[in-house]
Amino acid sequence: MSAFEAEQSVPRFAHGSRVPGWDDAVDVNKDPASIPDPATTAVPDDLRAEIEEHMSRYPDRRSAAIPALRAAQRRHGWCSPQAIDQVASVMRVTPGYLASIATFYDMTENEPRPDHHDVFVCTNISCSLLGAPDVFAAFQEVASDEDRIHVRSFECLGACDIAPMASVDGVYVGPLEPRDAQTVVDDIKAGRPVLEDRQLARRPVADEEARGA
Amino acid sequence: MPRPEVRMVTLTIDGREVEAPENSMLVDGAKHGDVEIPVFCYEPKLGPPVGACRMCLVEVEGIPKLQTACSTPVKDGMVVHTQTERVRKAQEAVVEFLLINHPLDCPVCDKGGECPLQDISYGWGGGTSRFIEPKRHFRKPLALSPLVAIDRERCILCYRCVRYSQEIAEDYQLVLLERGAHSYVGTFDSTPYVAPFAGNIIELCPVGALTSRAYRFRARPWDIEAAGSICTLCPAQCNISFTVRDDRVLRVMARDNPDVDDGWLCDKGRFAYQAVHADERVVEPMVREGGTLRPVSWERALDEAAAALSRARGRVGALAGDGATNEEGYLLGRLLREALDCNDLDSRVARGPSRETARALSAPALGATVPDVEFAHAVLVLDCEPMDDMPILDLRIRKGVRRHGMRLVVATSRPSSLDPNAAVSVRFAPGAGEAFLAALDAALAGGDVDSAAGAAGADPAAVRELARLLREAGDDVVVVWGERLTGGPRGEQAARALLNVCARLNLRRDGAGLLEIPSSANGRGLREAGVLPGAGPGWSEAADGRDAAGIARALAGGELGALYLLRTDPVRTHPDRTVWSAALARANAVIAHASVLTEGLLEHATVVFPAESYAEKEGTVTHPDGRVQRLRPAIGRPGGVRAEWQVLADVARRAGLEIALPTGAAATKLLFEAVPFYAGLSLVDLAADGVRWPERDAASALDAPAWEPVELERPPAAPSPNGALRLGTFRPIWAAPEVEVSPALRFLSARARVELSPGDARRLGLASGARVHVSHDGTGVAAEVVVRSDVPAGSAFLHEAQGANALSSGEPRLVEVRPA
Amino acid sequence: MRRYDEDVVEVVRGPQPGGAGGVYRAFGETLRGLKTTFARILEGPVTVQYPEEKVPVYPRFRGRHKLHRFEDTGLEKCVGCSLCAAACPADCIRVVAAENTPEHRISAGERYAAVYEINMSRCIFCGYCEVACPFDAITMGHDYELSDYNRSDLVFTKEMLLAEPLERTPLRAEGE
Repeated sequence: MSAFEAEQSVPRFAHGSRVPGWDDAVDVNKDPASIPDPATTAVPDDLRAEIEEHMSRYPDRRSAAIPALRAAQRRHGWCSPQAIDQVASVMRVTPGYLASIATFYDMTENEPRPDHHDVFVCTNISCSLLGAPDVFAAFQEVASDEDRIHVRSFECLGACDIAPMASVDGVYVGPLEPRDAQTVVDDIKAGRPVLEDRQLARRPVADEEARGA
Repeated sequence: MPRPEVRMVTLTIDGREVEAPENSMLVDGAKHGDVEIPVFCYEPKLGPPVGACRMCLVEVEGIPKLQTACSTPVKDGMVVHTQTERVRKAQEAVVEFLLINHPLDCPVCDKGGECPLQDISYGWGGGTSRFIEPKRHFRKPLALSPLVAIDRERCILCYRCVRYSQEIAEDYQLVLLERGAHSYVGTFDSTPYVAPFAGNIIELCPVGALTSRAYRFRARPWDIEAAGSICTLCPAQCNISFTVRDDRVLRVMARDNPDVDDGWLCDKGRFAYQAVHADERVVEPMVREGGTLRPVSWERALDEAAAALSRARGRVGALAGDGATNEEGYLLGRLLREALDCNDLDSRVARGPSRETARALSAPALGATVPDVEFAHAVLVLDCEPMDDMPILDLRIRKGVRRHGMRLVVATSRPSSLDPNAAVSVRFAPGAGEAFLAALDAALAGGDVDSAAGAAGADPAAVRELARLLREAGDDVVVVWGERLTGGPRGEQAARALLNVCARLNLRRDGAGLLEIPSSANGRGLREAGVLPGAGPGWSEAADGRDAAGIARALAGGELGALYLLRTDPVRTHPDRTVWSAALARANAVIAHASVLTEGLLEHATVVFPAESYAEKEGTVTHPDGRVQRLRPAIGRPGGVRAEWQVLADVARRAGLEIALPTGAAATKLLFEAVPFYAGLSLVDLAADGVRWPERDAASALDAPAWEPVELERPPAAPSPNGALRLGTFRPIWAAPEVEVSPALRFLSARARVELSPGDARRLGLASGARVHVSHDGTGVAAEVVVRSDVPAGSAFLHEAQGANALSSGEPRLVEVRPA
Repeated sequence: MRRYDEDVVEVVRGPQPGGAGGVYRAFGETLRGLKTTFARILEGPVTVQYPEEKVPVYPRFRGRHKLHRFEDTGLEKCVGCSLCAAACPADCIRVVAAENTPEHRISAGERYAAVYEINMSRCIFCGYCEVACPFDAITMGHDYELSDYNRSDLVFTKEMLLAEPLERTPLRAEGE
């Protein structure tokens, strides 16, 4: 057995600058990841159709990588190797190309997180001026014991009119106050629509004329 | 696109006037004034610069901030300073940053002593670091593939390897994962980076992050010597440099020659040097005694060989192949023709076109160079797979498409790895190259495309589109074609069709022409040295003889009594394996030069002379584009191995022909005198980069008149599948005895596989990985199924490995595929 | 034509024989020498009866090399980096490195010296190898008794260099 196959314990320093992935060797017994052959890679028809639709919008098919990965992530829950293989097979690119994109961007998941909920609290300028840091702190405190609820701050989500706001599994709610955090978490756990009365989707249009139409 | 014209501009660097080519980058321009600017990520071979490492910062007057010299093109009148305090501080800071997380393990690092980071730290670094925190530590070494080890502590994220994978090899397997400070070089889902050209990243890495697992810890730069020579493992004949320590080859590195290899190597060329020192290698002469080959003295082996040949005088056949040099080919020709009164010798695997047509095909005016492929307006890849047949040409074609806007058209029977880069790809039935050319000829001449395209099993519309593209792309068109196109009984007609196409596209001009990929490494050289039936040295007229297939039949039929095999084993490499097996079994004597005992020799050879490896050889070889290149011995010959020119001369002397050969150079001299268009060449001229003979005045000795298009015969239609499958065979890059005996490469050695289209696989009830029996008329081989969606329905492609040549013959065939 | 009278060197000679000068030449210098002889005669002999008796060496005397191990783990300090071979002006060091494996661990680093040889018949004992070593794995010892009957026996292998040398050479004591 050479040093390559051996599992070695590595002395690490206390401050821990460990980066995930850096310690991983490849599995030399695997086949190299070339472009998956459509003949041997099964892709669900609706996923294929969606990716092809995205590809048709760009002059270079590789431009569709991000929407295609998002589509696969919606279907598989995360950008699993299988999901990336399927996208690669439809897009005729290597899985490696997609993996570099999937690990680069924040909103592509590289690990399975079954049954989890995302709460993105906007902390950009408009929300911040209206008290977003307190809202974010409240969310962090309330959700600190919840494994399934993942709270993080976010740069501008583009809904300054309901600042300070948050996106709960893609549903925009606001304006928020720190005490709303508990309600949001309770709603998520109960499976109810979150803060129904303050969802952006339900907010009446401000323009009188448009509302009348 | 044609080569751009180079205009010189004048600029001032560090107070001195420098002339540099316009639009070259400052780093390169500065070299014209003997100014060195340090770089890590810049590598002109990798395409446009990325400016990632910031090592090359310089001050340019008129620009307030420091500029990266690697991505700033030179301009007329530019004033550049590379030695100011600002520049020095910036460069010191960059080095200090790079060394923050770079471990100080130079004593155990393989790159130590030949490491650009060491050199630059000494030359441009501050010498001290303010970083007192502990460095990052990771597991190491890690495997990146069975051939390459990665050490991520040492990586400085210069992107060279990733750019190589994406822009040169275009395999897109090696990528940068994660982002920012977390970025690291890796692959998808822990798959290994295994690709035909993956080894080049070892040479590209400016630190010790990517190292060769085969060379790991073998030697230090001061322990070794570099010996330049030529790799003769395939027709690409890349220029290489052997790393030698204690008379052993430890490594092979590229010796950049832009006219041949552009500084890249394939993994076979890079790692198959291990075959030189393999245990399996034959290092003593052997003679068959009581059914087995036993080592004997040279005297005895030479006497036995000469006696057997003399007994069969007039009834001896000979084949040459692989890495046989021009000199050996020439001496073999004289041995056969002059000493043994035989004319049955061949260096091709199947009968080719007639001497006249072959001369027309290799006319100097019609020859294209390797750089022509890159700068042409359009390239037609015809019935060959450069990746397998001449790997380094594959990179050149990709470079042409990517960097110079060359239009690529592919016409092959098997789906090509170049298809994604091609403007048009046309498929035709295996073995129907002639019919395809007839269709193309008709399309170019405005004739009846449909019938010929039908005979080829190709789509007439696609053929028309291909013809239109070749006509409209521009004047410079290069046709890259494989020897198999003109091999077989209808080779003559195929060659005439090809010449017609050349005439219609007017390829007799600079920057355009034909580039043939021969089936053996020095195929062109052996033909020019006269190892052909009916053609002597320099395509001179000679008495007609049998070709390879004819020799097999004559041996099997008892008309020939002995066979001389110069570095080839027909049972392994030639079509009709069963015929060859029978022929060798029937032959009274089989005398072989071999370095490995392959199956045909193991069973049938009566005398085996140990062959030199390419690291021990001296002599010349001829590149497919006509470049005569020189082999130089890098190490001594092991055991009892003798120079092969000497062995041939000794055999000839014992058979009654005295050839005065005091040295290897004398053999080269004889060759240059015998081949009219090599006249005047000398080994000194060939010393560094070789000489392309078609560019010399002596080339007029082979000049053929411009070809006038002729009326073509109606090509026979490709057999229609009717439930069976058309058989196509191809030789993967890894199907070579050198790969099998190299410990590092053994995991890649070709397995018997058959590629099927999804439709045929479904019809036969087969899935990828299934074991099947592929057969024709009772002969069959076992193989593993690979289902590929690109394979056209009705065809099956068999990897030529492990006896697959039992099924192939010169003619198109139908085969049955059944589960084993 | 070369002329011989151009570069004549004048030689100043001592007193001519005869007279006071002659007497001095005959006895004066001899007596001066004998004065030293008779002055030292009481001190006894200073000849060192080698090999029964040995001259002690200074602590920084550069004699036969030693390779070292870590005291706690017993692993070899040498990682086979070949820097000593690079520094050696006599080109007498040969190192062939190999890779450590977890089952077969020789040194602390990734690599170790599979072959480490010093050809003592070529070594000039300059100590550059000791200076070049980044791990203090090689030091110059005090042993200078290296003669042998065969030249090949003078090629010291790694095992010989690692072994505790017979301390045959006395070290000069403090202030001696």
